[in-house]
Amino acid sequence: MSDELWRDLTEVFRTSLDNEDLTLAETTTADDVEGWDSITHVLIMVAVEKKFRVKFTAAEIQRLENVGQLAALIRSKRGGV
Amino acid sequence: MIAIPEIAALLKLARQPGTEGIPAVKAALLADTASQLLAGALKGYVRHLGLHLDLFEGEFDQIEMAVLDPASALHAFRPETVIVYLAAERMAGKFGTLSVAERSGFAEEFRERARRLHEALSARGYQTLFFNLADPGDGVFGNYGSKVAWSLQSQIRQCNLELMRLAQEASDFHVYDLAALQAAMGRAALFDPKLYVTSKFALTPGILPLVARDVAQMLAARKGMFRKCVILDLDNTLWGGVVADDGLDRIQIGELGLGPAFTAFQSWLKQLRDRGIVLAVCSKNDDANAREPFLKHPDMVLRLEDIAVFVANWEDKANNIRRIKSVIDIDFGAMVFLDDNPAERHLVRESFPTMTVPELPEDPSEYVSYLVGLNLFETPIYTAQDAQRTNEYQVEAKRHAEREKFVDLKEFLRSLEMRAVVRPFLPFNFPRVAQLTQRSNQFNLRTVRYTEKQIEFLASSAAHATLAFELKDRFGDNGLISVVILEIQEEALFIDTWLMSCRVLGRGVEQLVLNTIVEKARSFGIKRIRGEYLPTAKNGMVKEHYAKLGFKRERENLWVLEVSDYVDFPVHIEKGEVEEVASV
Repeated sequence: MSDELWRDLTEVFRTSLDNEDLTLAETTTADDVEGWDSITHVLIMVAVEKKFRVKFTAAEIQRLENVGQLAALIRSKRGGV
Repeated sequence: MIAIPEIAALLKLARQPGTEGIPAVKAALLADTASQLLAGALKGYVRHLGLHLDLFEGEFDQIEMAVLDPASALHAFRPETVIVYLAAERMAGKFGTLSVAERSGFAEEFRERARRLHEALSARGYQTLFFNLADPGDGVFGNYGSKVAWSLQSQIRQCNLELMRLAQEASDFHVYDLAALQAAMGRAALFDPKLYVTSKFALTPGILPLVARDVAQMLAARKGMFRKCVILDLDNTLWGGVVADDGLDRIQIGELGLGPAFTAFQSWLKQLRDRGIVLAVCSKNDDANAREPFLKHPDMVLRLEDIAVFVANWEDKANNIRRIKSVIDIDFGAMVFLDDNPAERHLVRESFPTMTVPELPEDPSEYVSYLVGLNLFETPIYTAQDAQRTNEYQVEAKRHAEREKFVDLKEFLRSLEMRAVVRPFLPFNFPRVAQLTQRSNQFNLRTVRYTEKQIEFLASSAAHATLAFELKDRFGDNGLISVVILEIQEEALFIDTWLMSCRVLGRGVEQLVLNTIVEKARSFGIKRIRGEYLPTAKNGMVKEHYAKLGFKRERENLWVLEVSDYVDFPVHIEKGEVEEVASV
């Protein structure tokens, strides 16, 4: 995991959830984070797509279980940076 | 006011506490797709405009239940406006499950659905704000689809026409043109299929701020917040080049140089003028040079008669804008300043922070599309008289000039030869009266906004007396200049509404109106008149209104006048009372 990706991803979460103190771990799930619900999930996904210039499929959005999986997905779509 | 906050910022604004004391808009949002983000964006944008949106969010896809059930939570909430968003994607999704016959009747069915909802909402006095349909496209017939009545393409467009027809028939049915937004921004900006499939969102988070901006402006307009005036620079704004340097023949308008860009811009401004937006000129020029193109250039679309106030001199623009305001008396917040010079824009922005000062593109060919994209000119109402407004202000400018000739105010007032006509509310003036209650912000004691329907009700109510004042003078017709609604209470006549056009301030109209109110009280045998001042951000000028007219303070902002003590104010206005409209 590159530090840069993790830093950018954290930034996206912080902006989307309006929480400047938020920290993420590989195992973080929606249940662990206040304000991360099905609605803000959409905001996060769209913001991630924009930030990392990737495009998710509907199935990927539904399948994601934690932040680690999201980071891995971004990495694979960007050719394993 | 022009930069659009992003969705995350809007949602943050929507959550911002401290809504007490901010004027509130009460609305409901009913949708058949997931509407939580739209709701948040709307609340945020209304807050961004300086208002607070008290929003009732309907249950997902329970529109008819909420509207048609008299015991629903919607009706307990009592919204002023109900926003209905039926998504085209829902319709497209089930279109294939219908028989061909059903597909042919699809738009008709949609219209009936809209009509039923509107009737139920209208009966309760709510405004209906319907989103029209953003055509998802189907590719079933290719372009042949236009020739086939039962294609989705034909039916969706038919639906939008039906909504337009409803809007033109009913004063309390409004359409938000989502289809136009899609045409401007593109389908992909509006709709993301995976968000629809996974989360039932028919609008992308990226487009929501634009949707929210327009709908919020529609709601704010109903609260009297909308733009009424455009102040224009001349050289390189209305035409290309500098008239004093280049000469009349060499300015770019018509076919010369970039002329077509300026012609298109003027043509757009002319349409604004014809629908009641007041145009004023503020130019650094010699007056004669500035006027010359308007008088002599054959390709000018705008003519002097289109300009309500024309100021061309070498003073700074802030002073000149104050001069324009002294004639037209519109809030700075309701003015738009268009100037190609960034330094002038900066000065005006600094001097009048509430004024809208768009960053005009450097390329004049982009003026119109840029300004159209900003959607600056929402309005809650339009009447045919609106086109007269420019003329009224031109006459007002003449009065101003005349006044400067008189040392004695009474002399001046006498010289005006004013004649007032006082009428109750009558069908012919319902739209104008309603409009004035929605437009007036400054000389407005309680700032109660009324719809045409409510005005119609008040006109026939036995518990109310209504007064509409028109004023003519030797310079022309001022039209409807004051509206009063009196509520007949047990022991007092309560002034529910007293508003006046600021243009006629200082001419004795207040005194004439009070004389008339007292007459009414006497005719009802009521001994006391009670007036109230409800402060807003804009009506500070009438804070001491009742004190000035001899009312005694009863409580903070509550004033009373004993009819028996009252001696009519002398006025220089001849008065005629008319119960019915004279047949023309």
